Amino acid sequence: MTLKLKLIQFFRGLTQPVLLPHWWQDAILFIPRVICGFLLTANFGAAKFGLPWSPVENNLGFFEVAFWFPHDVATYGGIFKLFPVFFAWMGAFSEAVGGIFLLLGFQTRIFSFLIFCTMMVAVFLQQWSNGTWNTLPALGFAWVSLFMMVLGSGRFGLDHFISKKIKS
Amino acid sequence: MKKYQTLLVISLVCLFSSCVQKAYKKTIVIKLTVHHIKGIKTVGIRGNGDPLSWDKDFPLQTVVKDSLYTLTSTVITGYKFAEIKFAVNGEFELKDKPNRRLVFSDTDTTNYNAVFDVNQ
Repeated sequence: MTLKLKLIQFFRGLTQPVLLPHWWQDAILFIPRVICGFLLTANFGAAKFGLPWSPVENNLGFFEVAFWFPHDVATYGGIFKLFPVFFAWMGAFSEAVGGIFLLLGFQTRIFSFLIFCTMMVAVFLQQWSNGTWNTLPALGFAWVSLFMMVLGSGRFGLDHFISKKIKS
Repeated sequence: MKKYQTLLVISLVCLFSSCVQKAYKKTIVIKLTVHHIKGIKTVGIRGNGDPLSWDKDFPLQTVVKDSLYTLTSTVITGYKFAEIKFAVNGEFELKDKPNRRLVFSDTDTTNYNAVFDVNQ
């Protein structure tokens, strides 16, 4: 099997969601996915990453990360101090753009992975010293993205329609 | 293969060029006039964006006690404005009213004159 075929098969596997036995089970899991995706892209992400719906007062250009975020990221130390712009951009991108993809259920596993990594950084390097209560928002997103990494979009997402189309 | 290389180069250029919001050094000069309050102990400014906070005063200096207070501060910001309120003795002005908007001037220095509890 050629590398190209292997790659195609790998991405097909990544896209294909796990379908639960009953449609209503997928419908229940659709709710936290959509809420988390919406909150990430409309609120948490848009405040620090330039999207058309970012607050005007934040003065962010398209796909720009907020000026203060790389400074925050650098304070985490280690590799974050070495590449603060890269990690700040990736973290903000994961929230703002990952939120859209999570909401739509498009490439759910890839973006859930990015969101999960971002939330782990937020929990352990940003909020840990502020007490357990302050880690809850990031942990909430982390749990949802963890489930979505395993299950994919379910029946109610673009991944399901794409997978069906590829099969037929 | 060449197509993929071109795509990779374009992606990297997009990723690393102007990906961080530009921030500028701004000097802010605030003059606050206070009427009808005697025995003032603290006058501060509260708001969003570093170094301001909604929980803690950023103190103004006394020029004339119980009358005129001032602050000169230099900040690095990418924002166009900050939302602020003044506080005297820890009490906010403009209760149940919108915040003030401190719009940063295009030049290096922004002058802002205000009267406590009077919205302009």
